[in-house]
Amino acid sequence: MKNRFLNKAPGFRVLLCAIAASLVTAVAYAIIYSSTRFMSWAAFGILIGGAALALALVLCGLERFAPSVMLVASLIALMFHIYYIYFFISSVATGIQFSGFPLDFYVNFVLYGITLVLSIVCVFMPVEEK
Amino acid sequence: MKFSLVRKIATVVSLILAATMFTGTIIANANANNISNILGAKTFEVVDTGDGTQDTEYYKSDYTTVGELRAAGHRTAEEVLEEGIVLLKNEQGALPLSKGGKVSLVGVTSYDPVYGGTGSGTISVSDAKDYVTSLTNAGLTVNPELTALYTSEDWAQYKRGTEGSFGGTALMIHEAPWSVVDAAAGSTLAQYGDAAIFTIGRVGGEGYDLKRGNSDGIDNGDGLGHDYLGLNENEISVLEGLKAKKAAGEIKKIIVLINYAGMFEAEFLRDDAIDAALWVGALGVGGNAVGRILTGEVSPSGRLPDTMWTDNAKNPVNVNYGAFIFDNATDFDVPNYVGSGMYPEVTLATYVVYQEGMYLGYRYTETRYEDTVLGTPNAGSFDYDDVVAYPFAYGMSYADFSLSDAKVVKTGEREYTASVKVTNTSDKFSGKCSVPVYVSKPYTDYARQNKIQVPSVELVNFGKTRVLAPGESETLTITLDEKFFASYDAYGAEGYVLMDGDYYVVVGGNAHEAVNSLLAAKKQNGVKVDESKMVGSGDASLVTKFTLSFNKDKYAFSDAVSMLDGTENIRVTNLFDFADINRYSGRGDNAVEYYSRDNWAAVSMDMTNGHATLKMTDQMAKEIFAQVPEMTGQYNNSAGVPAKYRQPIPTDDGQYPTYGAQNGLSLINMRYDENGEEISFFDPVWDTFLDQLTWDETMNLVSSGFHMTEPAESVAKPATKDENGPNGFGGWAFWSGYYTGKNGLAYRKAAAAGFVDAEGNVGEGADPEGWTKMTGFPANGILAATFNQELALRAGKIIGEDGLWAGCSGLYGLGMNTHRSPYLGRTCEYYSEDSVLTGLIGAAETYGIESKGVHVYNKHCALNDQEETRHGICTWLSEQALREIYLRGFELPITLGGAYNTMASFSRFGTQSAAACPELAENFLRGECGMKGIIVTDAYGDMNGSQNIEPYFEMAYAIYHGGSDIPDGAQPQSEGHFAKFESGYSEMAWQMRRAAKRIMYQTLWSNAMNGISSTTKIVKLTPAWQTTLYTVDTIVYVLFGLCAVWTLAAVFADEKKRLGK
Repeated sequence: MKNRFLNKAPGFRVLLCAIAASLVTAVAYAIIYSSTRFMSWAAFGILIGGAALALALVLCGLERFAPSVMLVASLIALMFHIYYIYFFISSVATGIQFSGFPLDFYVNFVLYGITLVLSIVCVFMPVEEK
Repeated sequence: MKFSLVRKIATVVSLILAATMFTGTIIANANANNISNILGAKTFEVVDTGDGTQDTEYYKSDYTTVGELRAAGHRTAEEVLEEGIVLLKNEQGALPLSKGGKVSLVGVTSYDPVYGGTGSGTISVSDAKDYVTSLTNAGLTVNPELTALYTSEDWAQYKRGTEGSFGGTALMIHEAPWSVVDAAAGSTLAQYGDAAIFTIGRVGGEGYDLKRGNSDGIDNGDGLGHDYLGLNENEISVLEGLKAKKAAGEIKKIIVLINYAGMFEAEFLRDDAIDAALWVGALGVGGNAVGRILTGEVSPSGRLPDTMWTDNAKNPVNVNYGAFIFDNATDFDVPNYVGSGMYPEVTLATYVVYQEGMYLGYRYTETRYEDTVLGTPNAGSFDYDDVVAYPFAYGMSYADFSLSDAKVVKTGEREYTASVKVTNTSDKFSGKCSVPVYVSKPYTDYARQNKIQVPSVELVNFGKTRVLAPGESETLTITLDEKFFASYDAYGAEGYVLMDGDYYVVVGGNAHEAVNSLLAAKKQNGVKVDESKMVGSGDASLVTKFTLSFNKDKYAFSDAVSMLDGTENIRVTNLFDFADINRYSGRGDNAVEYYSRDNWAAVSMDMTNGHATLKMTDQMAKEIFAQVPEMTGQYNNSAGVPAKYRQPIPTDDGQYPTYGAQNGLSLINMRYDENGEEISFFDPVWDTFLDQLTWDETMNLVSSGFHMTEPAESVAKPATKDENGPNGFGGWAFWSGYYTGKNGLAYRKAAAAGFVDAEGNVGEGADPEGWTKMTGFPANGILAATFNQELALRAGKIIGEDGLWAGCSGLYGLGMNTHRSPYLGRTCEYYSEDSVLTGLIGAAETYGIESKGVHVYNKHCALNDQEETRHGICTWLSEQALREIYLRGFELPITLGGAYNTMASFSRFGTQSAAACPELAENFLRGECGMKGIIVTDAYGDMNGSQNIEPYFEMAYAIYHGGSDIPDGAQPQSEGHFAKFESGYSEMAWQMRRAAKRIMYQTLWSNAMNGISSTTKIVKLTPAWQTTLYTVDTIVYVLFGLCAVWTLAAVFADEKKRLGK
């Protein structure tokens, strides 16, 4: 098992970071939005499921497919998140009293962004053994 | 290698694009009608399948071009300002000024007039007349040196303005100090010294109240001193400087213009050095009136719509103005913290008590004055002259008028007719004269026993003469409705009662003159009057006494046809016990002593600690939580609604309405039956009609209403366009001017003339006036100050015509809230501190608007009498004050003006959201008043937690319980709150059907149906933006498909190679 994580190309480490970011994003997302109407449980599930599948591929020695899985999962999760949050955004932006966006709104989007960017980066990097 | 990189880049980019477009398209389509409405895109086309001979202009214009309409609009706005400007002071005939006179305009506002309010009351002022233009047009020569200085870049820092963002706006006065003005102007002040006209400007608007304090506004000139409605340091320096110039003989007169929609602290006007003063309100596009008034082309005839206090700290209403927090709210898990946004508010734990009860404005000052003069026990100390600068309805004229032969006779079962001969005794000036009529009711033992409060005098109607030449007379006859003699008795009869005793009807004068006349009449009738305490004198000949017997039945029933069931004469009885903390069943230990004539000494002037204090109770918490979005408690917090307070809408197994039936009825068919008779709202054919609606259409109708109502293709219901605002149509929504609305006369005329292209855009060759914006009227307080209902009617017709030409069938206005405090930010939109003046002027204006097929949404019903912390605030008051003051402004435009629609406020009646209050919506507005149309919420995005404040209202709750019919906004399509009621919630479905019916009915009787006949069909169109979206979608999806195939092939080849190895 240990050998599976040794002697890997730099892209592999980025992949692991993307998986970790996905899990962190999912947890943070749930903490921030789970009690609100703006929570997409599909986005949450896809983030967790994508990370789990990517990890499973790594463990099975099929890590070359994991970046693609991460990219698709993080992108679809982001789309679900946007679909559920857009009304909030439009209301804040067009409401009579523009109250601005709270910090956790930005934190959440930044986490989604990091996950997606890491997933894209590892698609372009070799992840298998040198 | 490079080839592989290109493939990867192409695939990733196309994947991201495809996902983005896919999601974006879903969101855009879910909100297609709102987007089209905002973009002004054409979404349906009216196709005539008949011979085209049917007249489908159900609401006709009196004008043939936009230019004609605009000219009439501007002229009407000028008339409103001419008749609304109030002459406060005119020593030694300082005014009018001689034409050809040379004057100096002083003050930043002289060069930057206040035309209107901010927020939804914004009007278009692109062609408004400023003071320099107005005075020049009137024949005065304005000091060019001062004009150049005040408008120069070097003086850019001296310009009234705002700092901060919306909601956190700081209003900056930025007056240029006298030292700067004097040094720069030099000798020109003397050269243009026939008069120095100093304009004091203040502005207010939506989302904020004006800054106030315990002392007068002496600050450093930036408007952030103690009190925005007092003079600031630089303004005082200018006045002192002008006074010095006058004393030195360099200028002849000092004239002050108060350019603010509301009242200013006016003690400073008592300074003898100030020769004349005018309250000019906010000008709208009628600015030319100022020059005409100053030069005497027109004689002032306006009367103040509010009391002008010497010092607002002497107005006890301000003790209870603002928002206060239930300290113990957290004991019930009710959040009492503010949001974290730019404009933080507490929405679930704030309250305000209208402790003054009936004694608001002149009802307070004049009643205390009368009680002081009569020596009533517990009158306390009250120095009228020290408190009131100018009373309600005060207003001078260049002409002099005398009132004679005043009499009031009973001319019907409930009708009295007042008549008075008005004579212009001036030998020089012509002018109009308005005549207010007041009633003074008896304050009897019955009133005391049943907690009925009876102000000294109350306005009941008014009239106005034509322009009377010197020596000319006119006899005015003014009809009075005895219903205004009745008082609301919440404790005894639980309805309106006429009390046993003497009623005095006073004809003419301002409120103080009326009380003095009342005192003179009472003295004649043997009442002991201490004349040494009187301020001024009265004329008993203007007073008529009637003695009435107690009667609790005469006004126990409403006059309207109830729109709940079509019955007449429904019982008027207590509806709002829950909004009176002393009668509310869940009040716990709370109790409030409203102001009473029996105990004036109890009135507090402690602006810091004098307010009524309340504690939250378990029942309050339960009721507040019942109205918030079911799933959400604190925004972004995991607690949600506490479990013990969760009250979801219950499921049931009842039968749903029929949906999607093919009955062959279009909306236009619902106007008249085959005999040409108007189809009643209660005709069973409506059920047949409504069965044709699909579930989705019904859901859309009640869940989406951002400045519109949704179309319904199955019944050929067009979308409607409903826009701000209370001072006339205008603002951002009309970026194409009169061409904005596709069903407007301007657009349809352009289309008929061939100036509209295939995509619906108005092109070259069309009337250029069509790109201009609608008439922006002066502040509604100015309209009220005209005391002229006929003029209000004409102003309303102009607004209606504007809607007709611009394609609007709904107006988010008029503003019928009350000038409860001078610090109300939104004063410009509302009329008066007096409910009858508000109601009668508003009714006349409403009638004019409605006559053009434009339905008003009179707002904000009700109790939105402050802007600060207006969201979700629990408002407590007596039912007498609620009915006689705060609801009357909404009632009269419905019963007298035919107002179709109402906008609910952000406030609560007690704990009950105004937007979800069946006692208000059903029993009062539809039942007692007979309102025919719909109720829209105020901005829904502010209410449901989308803003960074606690959510405090749920649209589904309003529909289910009988409150609002549509949100001014849209529900989240992602969760689809109404979508979840598609099965298992039949009661909700029927409530949605009822709201949909009302939406249909108000559309049917609006100008949205112009151009639609029984032989026309409504064909849905795909707007250009949607076509573009689909085209881009197709390109992106194809690109992604190709890249995906490419990548799969590469992966396949790669895997094959791996296996080969």
